[in-house]
Amino acid sequence: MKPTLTIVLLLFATLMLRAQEGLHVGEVFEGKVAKTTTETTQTGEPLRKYGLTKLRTWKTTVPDSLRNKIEALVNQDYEERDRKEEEVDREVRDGHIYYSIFRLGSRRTELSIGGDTNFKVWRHYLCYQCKVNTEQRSLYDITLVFLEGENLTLDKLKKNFKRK
Amino acid sequence: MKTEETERLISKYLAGTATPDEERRLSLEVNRRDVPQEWRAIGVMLGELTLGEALYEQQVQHRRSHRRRIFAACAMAASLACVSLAGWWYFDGRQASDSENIAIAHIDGHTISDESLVRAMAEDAVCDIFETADEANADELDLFDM
Repeated sequence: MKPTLTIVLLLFATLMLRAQEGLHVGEVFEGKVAKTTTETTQTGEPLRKYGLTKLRTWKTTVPDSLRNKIEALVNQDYEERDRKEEEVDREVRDGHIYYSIFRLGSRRTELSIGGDTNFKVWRHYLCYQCKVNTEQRSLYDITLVFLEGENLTLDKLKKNFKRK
Repeated sequence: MKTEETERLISKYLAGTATPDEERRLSLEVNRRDVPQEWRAIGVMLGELTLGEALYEQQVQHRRSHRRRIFAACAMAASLACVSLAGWWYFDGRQASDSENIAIAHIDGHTISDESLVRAMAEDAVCDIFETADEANADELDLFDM
């Protein structure tokens, strides 16, 4: 009975850890906030030149009610950002985020076998931009981007994504 | 064992209705040091054989529970190791699946899998935000220069 209970508790703990990996903006990427969107998902070889392992982008045009909802989710992730090695570039205009680029929590794996240590750090960034739609001033063009890369920095990202 | 329980077993023994297990339990109880004289007499009646069997059974129980504790500790350690390895395999496995080449876009529910087009759309989105940041930072610097 006791070993069974221990296994169940440990499995539950593992599930909890998995759940904490999710972002508040995850529901935006999952299409739960806005329906008419332009999204991209890339992993693997196409991203090598950017130094990334994962890239997701999401764009939409929404009224201010949905803009506020999305902004609130971004702010929640911003509050939970990596403060130990903080990287932030952000501007707020008239009480709303104009753009926000910040580092999220890192994921790290380390495994030592026979004296050799396999050590990797994946860093994550969230980028958000909200601009007034040029054709309809009551709507907002929102862009949301999630990036993941090994040993990534904001400077590297800006250099890799400079338009030529 | 409580006094009432001991006396109940003594009555059963004297009536000849006690089971062998009850006799062994009774024998352990009446052969303790701090018991009344009349109980010692019951111990003599039960005999050394019954006491010997009871003591042997007690030892076996003790060894079994000790073995159970060791087994439980090993099982917990093994469970922890399995869960840790599973977790490491899961997270490292995710990296393995992230190395798969995926390039896909959805525009209002329509799927596009043309890699170059997907890459261009994604690059455009990211560059847009970084350019906004650059312009905003440049404006700030201009303000300082004024």
